[in-house]
Amino acid sequence: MWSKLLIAANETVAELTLDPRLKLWVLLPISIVMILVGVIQQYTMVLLGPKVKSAPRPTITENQYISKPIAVLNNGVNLHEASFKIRQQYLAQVLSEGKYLALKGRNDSAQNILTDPNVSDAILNMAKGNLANYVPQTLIMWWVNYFFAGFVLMKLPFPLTIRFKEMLQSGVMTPDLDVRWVSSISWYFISMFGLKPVYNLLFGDSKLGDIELPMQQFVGGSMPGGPTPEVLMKDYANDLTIAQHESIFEGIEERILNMYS
Amino acid sequence: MNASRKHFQNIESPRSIGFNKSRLLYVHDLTSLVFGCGAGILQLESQKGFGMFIASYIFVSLLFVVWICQLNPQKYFQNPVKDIFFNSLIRELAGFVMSWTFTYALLG
Repeated sequence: MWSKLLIAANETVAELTLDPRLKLWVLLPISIVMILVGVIQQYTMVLLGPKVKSAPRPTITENQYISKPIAVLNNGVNLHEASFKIRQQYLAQVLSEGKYLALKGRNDSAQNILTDPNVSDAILNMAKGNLANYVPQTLIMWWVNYFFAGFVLMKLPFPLTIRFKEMLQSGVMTPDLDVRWVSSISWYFISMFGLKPVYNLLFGDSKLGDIELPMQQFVGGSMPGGPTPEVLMKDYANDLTIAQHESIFEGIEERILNMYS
Repeated sequence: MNASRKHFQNIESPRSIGFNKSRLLYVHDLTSLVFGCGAGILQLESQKGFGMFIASYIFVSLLFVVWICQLNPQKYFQNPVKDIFFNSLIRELAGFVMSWTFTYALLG
């Protein structure tokens, strides 16, 4: 009988009466500040963000002359025999001469990845992004810990294990208060994880443009560490000279007749 | 002929796929926040609240498949089951818990 009562007493959660002003002066300010910091962060990222990538004209020409032989080799079946021959000869000659190389006679072995302006730009952008993420988060955490410490702010709608007590009830000196009563730092954690959908709703459309950015980065200049353009051109010139032309129209009458027979 | 038709079926536009995904993400974000507010207003606790999240998430995903994808999700997504049901699960759970806790604390 007594043990049952004791268990029942342990199971009922102690109901605390919280000052309603806590909601107005603690819960709302933290939420508003976190949303505003997210907005500011987004716009600073837009301002600091990567500029439009540009490449010098010779580099673009070089890249296009690297992709040209691939196009001819892949789609040459659609061409007439004579026009294929013309393209084959011209491209093989131009490529083996290296006429459209961006930097003729460049010493490629001494090329350092870090001195390449595009790569160092990307590294700088990454550093900026990390900084813009961590600095505001640290500042808010310090602010919440400093201003709103030492009292219970709210009751969570779900139970947590006792392990969270130390983290979520920091500054509340009670040995056996239920973990559902938490201090303000836990609202900071919850909203830090949960605000992503809110940001998406606030500026969802600007994210659409970001999807294309990573693809455009490699338009100018070959990838670092890959084969140099000169080697690539030589390879494609060799491929072109040995390529056999095969028209798509060869034997088409038989194929059509077979199809409809 | 068959081979070429198959070939053309496999052509994908990354731009369109990205657009479809962001549209789906927008729907999920909005509904999970709204249902979180609903759970908080109803003062649901622990299992009931998470049950509401799972029910609303599945309901919205199915509605997306039926209504917006016209029962043909493989036309719009490369990997329909993963993209629609699992990709943003954790993120939406976090958003749901946030709005749930917020309204629960405001009204409770």
